[in-house]
Amino acid sequence: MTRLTTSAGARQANYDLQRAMRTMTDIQRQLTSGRRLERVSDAPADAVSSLTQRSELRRVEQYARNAERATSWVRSGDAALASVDDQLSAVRSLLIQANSGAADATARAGIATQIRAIRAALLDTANTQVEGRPIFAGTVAGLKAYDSSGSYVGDAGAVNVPVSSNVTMQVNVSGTTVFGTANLLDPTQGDVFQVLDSIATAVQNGDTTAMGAGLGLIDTAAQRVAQAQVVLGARGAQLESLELANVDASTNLKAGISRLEDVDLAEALIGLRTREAAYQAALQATAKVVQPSLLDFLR
Amino acid sequence: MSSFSGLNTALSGLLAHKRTIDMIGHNISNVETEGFSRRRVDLTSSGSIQPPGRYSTYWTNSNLGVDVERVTRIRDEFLETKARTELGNEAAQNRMAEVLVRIEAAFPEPSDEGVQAQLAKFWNAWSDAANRPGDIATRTAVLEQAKRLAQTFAGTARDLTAIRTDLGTQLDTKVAEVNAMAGRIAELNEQIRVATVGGADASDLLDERDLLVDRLVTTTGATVRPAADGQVDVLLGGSTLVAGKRADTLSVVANGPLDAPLDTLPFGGLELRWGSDGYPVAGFGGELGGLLTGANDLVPRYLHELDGVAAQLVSTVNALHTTGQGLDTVNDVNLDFFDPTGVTAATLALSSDVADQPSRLALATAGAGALDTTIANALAGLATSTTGADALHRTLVGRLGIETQTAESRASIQQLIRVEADTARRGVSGVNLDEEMTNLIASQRAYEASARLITSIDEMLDVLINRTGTVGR
Repeated sequence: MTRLTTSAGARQANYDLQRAMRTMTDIQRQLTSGRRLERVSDAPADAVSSLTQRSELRRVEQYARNAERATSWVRSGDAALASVDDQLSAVRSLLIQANSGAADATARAGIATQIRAIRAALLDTANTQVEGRPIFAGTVAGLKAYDSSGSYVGDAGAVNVPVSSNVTMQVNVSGTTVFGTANLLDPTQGDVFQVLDSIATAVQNGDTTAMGAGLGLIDTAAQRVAQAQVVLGARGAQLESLELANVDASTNLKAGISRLEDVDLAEALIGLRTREAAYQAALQATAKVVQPSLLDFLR
Repeated sequence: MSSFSGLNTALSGLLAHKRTIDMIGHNISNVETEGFSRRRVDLTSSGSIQPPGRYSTYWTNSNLGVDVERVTRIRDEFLETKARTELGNEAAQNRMAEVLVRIEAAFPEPSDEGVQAQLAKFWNAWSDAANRPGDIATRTAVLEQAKRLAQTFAGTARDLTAIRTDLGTQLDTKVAEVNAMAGRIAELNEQIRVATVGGADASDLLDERDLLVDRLVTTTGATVRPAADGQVDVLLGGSTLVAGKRADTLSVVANGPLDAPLDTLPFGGLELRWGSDGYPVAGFGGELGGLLTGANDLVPRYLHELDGVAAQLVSTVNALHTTGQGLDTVNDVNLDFFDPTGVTAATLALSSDVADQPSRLALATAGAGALDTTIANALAGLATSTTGADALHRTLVGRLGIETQTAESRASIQQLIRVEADTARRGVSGVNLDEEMTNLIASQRAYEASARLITSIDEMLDVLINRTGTVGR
């Protein structure tokens, strides 16, 4: 059996007390800082997992920002298309009116002027901007999709926005998709601005054949717009559900990070009580063990 | 048999027990002295060594009494050796754990300031720029965030280099301490030899010497070999640091670049060499071992790994960026984003192609419209790459965490082992006050009894001298 010595006893008591105190202060530190993970080595696996989730959270927050922007593009596009639709039906009724036979040359000239005014308004709509950028111009720089003469200056480029980890959404439709492609040889087969131009001319000239054909052309144009509306509408709906999914993901990630990094108060408090009790017991035992010696009983 | 021989016997008892009580006093005074080994006065009966002869009788054996044979310094060499080995091991483990904790502090993760967070912000900046590709402000934000990222990398590299420099300084200090201690041990060895040969009590010298040896072992992890006349030799890897009264010296020298792949680092390795012949020292441990491991392995390894993360960042970002175009679709093509020559954490920087020229950032793929954002979206998507900088950095941090945790738990286990070994050796050599008190009582009583004996003999002589032959007086 090992011989016990006075200083070894004191040393051992000291060592044990320090250990008891260290585990207690560890928990106290956790409680005061509110964090379970102060350093990676506190729990390496948890820390790495928390790092991954933190990166993911930042990305989800970015996706949420992207989605907001995508939504504003899709909404603006939707609104512009609706107004294009209205303008086209206005042209259609004007055309029917001009083609009815009741209209004389003066009336037709008036109608032609109205159609030209609608064309100018349509051009304005086609140059609708979001954040200073024309939404129907594809990816070219510049402030307009159509110049003042009505020719397309944009491109067919897609504006893609990543809105979740596996969805990158095209938020624009190009001018040619909505308004058709220009045709220099045969304006009646060209884009909607050429078509309106030719219709206005036909109305002014009282060209009934051309006016009759014009109705079909406007229907075709309206159909293109309707198709684009369907596409944007579907994207808008998808965006809404993705935004909800992003909020869910962000909430889950925050909860996950908190679970990994933050102190479980109930557990920590119970741990603190237990260790306090252990520390106090150690103190009392030390006080009893260290104190008495034979000296107390010798006189 | 003389009438007075009893007095001599009693006197020898008085002297011997007085000596014992003095020694007990010495022990008690040193109950808390570090490195003190308790002393024991070995007594022997002086009558017992008379060789019996044919004509010898009890009466011829006149030399009764007690002798102080020697003062023994009580310690168990086996336990001492074991405790010293553990001292060296504990010091090495402690130092390594300390170095790792400092390295870990250079990687403040998980946080909002560390490399990981800055990387995430960097990727998000690309995404924000993609949301407004024509906006110079968001493009500038990408450049600014890239600068902050580079600063964070450089800051971590600087912290690691500072730790390495500090370890070099600590090593110099420790080696100076070792040289001083080795010299003092050699001096004490000589004094001990002189004292032992001259028959004097060298216990206090031995205590001082052994305490120094303990410290030397803590610092160097040396082994200790007992030599003649109470001296000790101290060996490092089979070569003697202290042999009798001669002491060698150690020195720390810079030793050229580290082995590949660590040879790209801005600092080389350190080596411990003998002062006498300049050969490298082998088989050392203790604090020097822990510090050298830190300086030659731990710090360089993690700095190199961080450089790897930076290099990966540069190559992945540039690979995409060079395929893109800036706002000027003719001239802003084939541009590097990061300086391709700065592939370490300390030298990570923006390339001169794009620095302070936000319009040249390649958000668009080459040949597409000026406001195309394919490249920017692809760059933002690098965040999730399993081989990208983020993943590499996470691996680094995870590995560092595990290594630190392991080192700390190893150090605390080693502390337990050391405490055990220390308790065992102090169990033999340490002072127990209860025991000393008991011995004190025994010796005190023996002293009293010896004194009483003198009184008895005195009374006997009084009877003989003053009261005998007084008949008829």
